[in-house]
Amino acid sequence: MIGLNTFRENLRDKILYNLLFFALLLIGVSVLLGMLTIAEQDKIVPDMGLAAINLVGVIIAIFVGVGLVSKEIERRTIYTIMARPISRTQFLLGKYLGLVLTLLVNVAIMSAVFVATLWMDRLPIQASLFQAIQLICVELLLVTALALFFSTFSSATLSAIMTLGFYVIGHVTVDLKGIAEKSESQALKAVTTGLYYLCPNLEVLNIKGAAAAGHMVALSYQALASAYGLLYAALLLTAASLVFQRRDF
Amino acid sequence: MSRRFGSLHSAHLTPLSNWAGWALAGALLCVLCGSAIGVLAVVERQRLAIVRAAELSYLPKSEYLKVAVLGYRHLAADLIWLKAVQHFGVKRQTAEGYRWAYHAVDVLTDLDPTFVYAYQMAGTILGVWAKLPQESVAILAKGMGHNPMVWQLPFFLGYDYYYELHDPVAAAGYFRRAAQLPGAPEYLPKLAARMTIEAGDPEAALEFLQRLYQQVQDPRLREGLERRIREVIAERDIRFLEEGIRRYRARYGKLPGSLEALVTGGIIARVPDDPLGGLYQVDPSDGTVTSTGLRERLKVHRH
Amino acid sequence: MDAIFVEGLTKQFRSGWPGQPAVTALAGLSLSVRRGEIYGFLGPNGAGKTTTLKILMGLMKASGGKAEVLGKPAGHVASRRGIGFLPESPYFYDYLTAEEFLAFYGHLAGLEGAGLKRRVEALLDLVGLAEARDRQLRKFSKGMLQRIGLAQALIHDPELVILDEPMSGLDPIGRKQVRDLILALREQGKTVFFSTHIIPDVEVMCDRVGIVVKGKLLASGTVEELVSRGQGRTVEIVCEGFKAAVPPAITAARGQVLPRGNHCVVVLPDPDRLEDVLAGIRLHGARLVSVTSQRGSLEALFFHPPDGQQAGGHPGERV
Repeated sequence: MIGLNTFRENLRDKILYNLLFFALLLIGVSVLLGMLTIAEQDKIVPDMGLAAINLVGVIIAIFVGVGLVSKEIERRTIYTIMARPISRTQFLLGKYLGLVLTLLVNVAIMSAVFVATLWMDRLPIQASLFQAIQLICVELLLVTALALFFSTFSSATLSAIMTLGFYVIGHVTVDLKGIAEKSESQALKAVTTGLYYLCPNLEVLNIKGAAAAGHMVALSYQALASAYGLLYAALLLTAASLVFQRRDF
Repeated sequence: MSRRFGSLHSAHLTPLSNWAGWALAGALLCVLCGSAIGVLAVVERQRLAIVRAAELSYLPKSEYLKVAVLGYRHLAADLIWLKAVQHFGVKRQTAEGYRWAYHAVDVLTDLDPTFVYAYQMAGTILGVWAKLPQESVAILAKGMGHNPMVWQLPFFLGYDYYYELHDPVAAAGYFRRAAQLPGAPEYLPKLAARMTIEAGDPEAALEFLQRLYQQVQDPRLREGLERRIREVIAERDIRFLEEGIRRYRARYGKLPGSLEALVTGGIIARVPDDPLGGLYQVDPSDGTVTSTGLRERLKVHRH
Repeated sequence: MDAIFVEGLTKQFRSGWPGQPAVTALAGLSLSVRRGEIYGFLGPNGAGKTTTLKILMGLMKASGGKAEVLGKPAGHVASRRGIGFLPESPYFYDYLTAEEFLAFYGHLAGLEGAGLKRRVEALLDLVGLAEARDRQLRKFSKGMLQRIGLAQALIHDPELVILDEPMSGLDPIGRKQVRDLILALREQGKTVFFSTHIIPDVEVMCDRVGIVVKGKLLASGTVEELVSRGQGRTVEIVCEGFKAAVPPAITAARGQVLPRGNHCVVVLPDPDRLEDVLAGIRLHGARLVSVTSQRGSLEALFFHPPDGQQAGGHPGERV
C-alpha cells in the first residue's frame, strides 16, 4: 500500500516526466549522431540507448531515493503514517518497492523506445541488449537501496552526496585495486582491497559494451551477477531497517 | 521590470501601462538573448581553429579517463570518436591535426577496445592519405591485438608494410593472416602469395590496389589509392621500357639516344603515356628510365 | 484499565556534538487517562507535551519510565489499530485528493472495499469536506487541512483519539468546528487525549486536565477540582489614591498591582491574606472601591502553580 502510494507520488511529481523526456531526447540524438558517422550507427545507437537508460535510471534512483524517507520526516507526513498499525520495516520496504516499481516502469518505457529506435534504424535487436537491461535493473535496485539506507539517518542532501559517492566508488574499485597493486605501499593496497570488498562493485553489473556489440554473457554469469546485486541490496535494506528502528522522529 | 512591479501596487494605473510593462520585459529578454548569442559567436571566432583542434591532444591519459567515466566507457568512446571523426573529415588536415586525431583514437580504443571501425578508419586514413605510416601501423596493430578475428585489420597492416614501409616480408605475414580469417575476400590468398613471393611484381601490386580501391568508399582514400595505382603503373611502364632498352642494346650494341629510338628500332610499338602527367625519359649514359611525374621510384619494386 | 497509563517517563535528547549536555524534555512524567473521557494535556510551549505524545505513538523511544496505551506498551504495532492520531500542524501528502487521502489511510488501517468507501463518505460528511473530495490537499486551507487530518485520525473508528494542538492556528470558526467534533466523539464513548497551550479550550471541553511544566505533571483532575483547590481562586481589589510605594502587605501576599488611571487594581492569588491586605491598604491612606472574589480559573493556576513553580514560557495565546 505504501509502495503503491509512493508510486503514485512519483507519477504526480513531474520530475519523472522530465527525465523520461530526457531519455527520449537522448535516444533521438543518438539516431542523429548515428547518421553523421556513416556505418557506425549500429554501434553508437545501442551504446547511447543503453547509457541513457542506465543514466536516467540512476538519476531517478538517487535523487528520488534519498527523499523517500527524509522527505517524509522533514514534512512530518511520517507522523500519521507511523500512527497506523504498520511497522517501521514495513514502511521502509513499502517506500523501497514503490520507487522500484517506478523505476521498472521507467526502464520498461525507455527500453520500448530504445527497441523502437533500433527497429526504425533497421538495426539488429539482439538478446544481449536485454541482458544488459536486466543487469541495469539490478544496478538500480542496488542504488535505490543505497540511497534509502543513507536517507534513514541523514538529510536528503547528504544522502545524495553519499549515494553518488558510493556509485562512483562502486564503478572504480576494480581500477583502484589495479592501480594500487602497481604501487609499493602496503597500506594503500590494504585500503583498496578493503574498499573492493566492502563497497558495492557496480562494474560487475555493467555489460553495456559487450551487449551493444551483440555479445551475450553466459547465463550463469548473468545469474551470479544478479545474485550479487540483490544480496547487496538486501544487506542494505536490512541495515536501513535496523537503523530506522532506533530513530526518533 | 520596475514599471511592472509598480503597476501591481498602484491601482490607478491603466491596463495600458501593464501592457507596456510586459512589452518592456519582453524587449529586455530579446535584447539579452540576442547579445548572449552574439557574444558567443564572437568568442567562438576568437578561439582559433588550432586551439579547437588541440583540444583532442588534451584528452587525459586513458587510464584515468577510464576511471572517470564510470560505467559509461562506450558512450565516452563514442563521444570522443565523434570529435575525432571531425578531424579526420577535414579535407586538408595538417600532420599535427592527424596526430591529435590519432591520440584521440588511441584513447578511445582504450575505453572501448572493440571499436573496430575506429581502428580501421584511423588506420587507413593515416596510412593511405595522411602519410603517417608509423601511427597507422600502431593503431592497426593495437586493434588487431584486441580483435584478432577481424580480417580488415591485418589486411590494412599489410598494405602499410607493403606500400608505405616497403617491407614485403612483413606485409606477407599480415596478408597471410588476413587471408585465414573468416570473411576475407576469396582473391586474397592467391594475390597475397603472388605479391609476396614475387615481391617485385607490379602486376600483382596493381591488382591488389584495384581490389582495395573498389572496397573503400571514402573519397580521400580513393584519391590516395588512385595516386598509388598511377605510381605502380608508372613503375610497370618504366620496367617495360628498361626491358626494351636491354633488348635494343642486345640488337644494336649501343644504348638508344631516346625512347623514340625503341619504336623506330622496332623494339616496342609505342612509348606509353605517363599516368602521372609527366614524361618518360632515358638517361643516354646508363640507360635508366625515369618519369618526370614520379618523384621517387617505389622501393619495394627494386631488386 | 486506563486508556493511557504513563509512569515516571523520562526523555533526554542527546545533542549532536559530544561533550554538550543532553537536553531533558521529560523528567519523570506520570499520568493516566480513563476510558471515555476527554483529557486535556495543558502546558506552555516546550513543556514536553509533543514529546509525550510522540512516545505514546511510538514515534520516539523513551529514555526511561513506563508508557502504556490501551494496555499495551507504547509503540506496539498492532495496538495502533485502536488509536487515531493527529499531529501538530499536520502535513500530508499534498498530491492526493481528499478522497484518495482518506482511502489511503483507511487502507493502512486495514479497511477495504465497500466498508472503506462508506467510512470515507461518512467522514467527509462529518468534517464538512464532501464538496472538496476531488481537490488536491495542496489547495486546502489550514482549517480544511486540520479537519481532513481529524478525519484521517477517525477513519478506522478508533477507541482512543490522540490530538496534538488540534486548534492551534485556526480562526474562531475553525476552532469551533474542531471543538464540536471533539465533543461529538465523547457522545460516541471515545477517549480523547489532546494537548494544548490554550486554556479556554480545556475549560470548555475537558473532563479532566493535566498540567505539564518542564517535563513533569504539576497537577491533574477535573477543572473544578483544580480551580477549587484554592490556588485557582483570586481576589480583585480596586482602590483609589495610593500615595507612594506599594504597601508591604500586598507584597507579602504575592499580590500584583495593576494601575488603571487614578484607580489601582490589586490581584491577590490567595484569599486567606485578604484581611491583612485590606488593612495594609487602609493604613496607606487609599480609598477602597470594591472587593471581588473571582471565580477560579485555570489561568491563575497556570501562572501560580501550587508549589510556587512558575510555568514560565509564554502565556497561553488567547483568541
